[in-house]
Amino acid sequence: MRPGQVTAVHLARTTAAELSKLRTLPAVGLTAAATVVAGGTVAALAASSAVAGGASPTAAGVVTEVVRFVQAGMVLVGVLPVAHESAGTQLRTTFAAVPRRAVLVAAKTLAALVALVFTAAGTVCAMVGGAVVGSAMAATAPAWGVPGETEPRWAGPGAVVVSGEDLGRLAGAAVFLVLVGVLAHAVALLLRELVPALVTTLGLVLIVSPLLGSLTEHARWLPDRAAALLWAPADPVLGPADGALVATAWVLVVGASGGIRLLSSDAAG
Amino acid sequence: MIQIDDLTKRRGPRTVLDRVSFTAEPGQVTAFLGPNGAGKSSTLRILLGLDRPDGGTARVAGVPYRRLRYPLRTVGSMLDGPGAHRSRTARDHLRWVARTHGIPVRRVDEVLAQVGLAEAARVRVGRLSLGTGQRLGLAAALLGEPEVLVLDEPVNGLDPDGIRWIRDLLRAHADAGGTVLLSSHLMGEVAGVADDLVVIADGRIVAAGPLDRVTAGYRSLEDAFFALTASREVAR
Repeated sequence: MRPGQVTAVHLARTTAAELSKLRTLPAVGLTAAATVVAGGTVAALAASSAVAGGASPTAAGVVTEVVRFVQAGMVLVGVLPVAHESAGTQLRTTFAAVPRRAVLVAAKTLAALVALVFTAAGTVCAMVGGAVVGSAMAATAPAWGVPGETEPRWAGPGAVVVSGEDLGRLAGAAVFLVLVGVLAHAVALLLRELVPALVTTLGLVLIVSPLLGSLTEHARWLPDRAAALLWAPADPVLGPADGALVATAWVLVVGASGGIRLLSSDAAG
Repeated sequence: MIQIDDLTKRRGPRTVLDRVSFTAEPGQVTAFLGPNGAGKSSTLRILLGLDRPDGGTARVAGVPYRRLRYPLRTVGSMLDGPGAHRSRTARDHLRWVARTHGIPVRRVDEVLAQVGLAEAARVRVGRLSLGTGQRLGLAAALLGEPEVLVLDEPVNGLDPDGIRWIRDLLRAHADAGGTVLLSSHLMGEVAGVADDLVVIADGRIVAAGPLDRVTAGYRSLEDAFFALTASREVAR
């Protein structure tokens, strides 16, 4: 075998091992499942209340309205592949089995990406399903309590069938979720421990980003806001592709710093 | 074969290893002895590529550990505890370790049976007792059928049966031509199994060689240990 093939086989084996770790760690499966269920539920509620209010939301409209609510799940799925190593003494078994840490970082990132893509795709599908079911249920139920209505009435037709343009925004929402998760993975590479990585990433996407967003237009350069341009209304400065690039640049810078730290440091534990 | 040459490690202002040199030969069980905090684990962590030395080299089968692409086929190691995540089962833990090396899954069940864990294969690591966790750590060390075994305090938490079992296993490994390096802070643990001794105190090697030569002039291994490590304390 040529040296390139030897490395490719090594990377493939290490990635298979990392995927095996994720599959057999209950927290990963539970978090992914909870994210999918939460996405479907929130979308159903949002669609139902929109229809009850007399609107005819599109599936993509509902998904983009609620997609931020599942960021926390993606952050946890992104953080766990690295952070679970530091809970106890597993990290030294990992380093002893794969002393070539560059291969290890690459394999961990690939495995995290697989988990994130599955979770994001599942969540967006559940959201579309939730939107359709929620709006259909609201449409066939009498819309009690709508302001100004004295008699019950049958609400509008419910969520429409997904159009081509909608598909683009739905894919954008899925890629957004993957980018948020990959950012969390990069932060975990840098900080290693579960709690600091979670606090940093959740603090950014749930607190710092909304806060700065209301204060300055420069908040568009934050990774989650840039990634959100994949589905959000047009920004005067950045297009959807630019937003994805800005978010990817963040991931690369944070991830590379984490990778370098992992390559050069002593193993804890 | 393990070669440690001039190994130095500093943590802040403290020198934890001061030009440590010794070898562990094939066909021999080498006991690495010293009080707690003397530098045993620091040496083994550098040997296994977990930590970086500030000077010197540690080689297994002629190369530094980090150069080995599939190290578990050359060196099996166990530092204290199972080295596994508490929410995974014993078998799932060994399976991911096996996958890193392309080791067939059936080998996992073989080593589980070998260390007496066949019954506990589906138990989560967090529910294993201290001694059972040690056995799982040993199973991971044996997984790649390595020539060299490096074990840090392997009998911690084992019952008398377990201690005898591990001694027999290490003896058999060395008799079959393998290299065994085991660390301990308890003399009684190694008296019956070691061929060679390396004694470390305060980060320096104070004695090394065949058991009978190192202990010559002392009534027992224990006396030798206390005399060798105490003289170091006094010299400080």
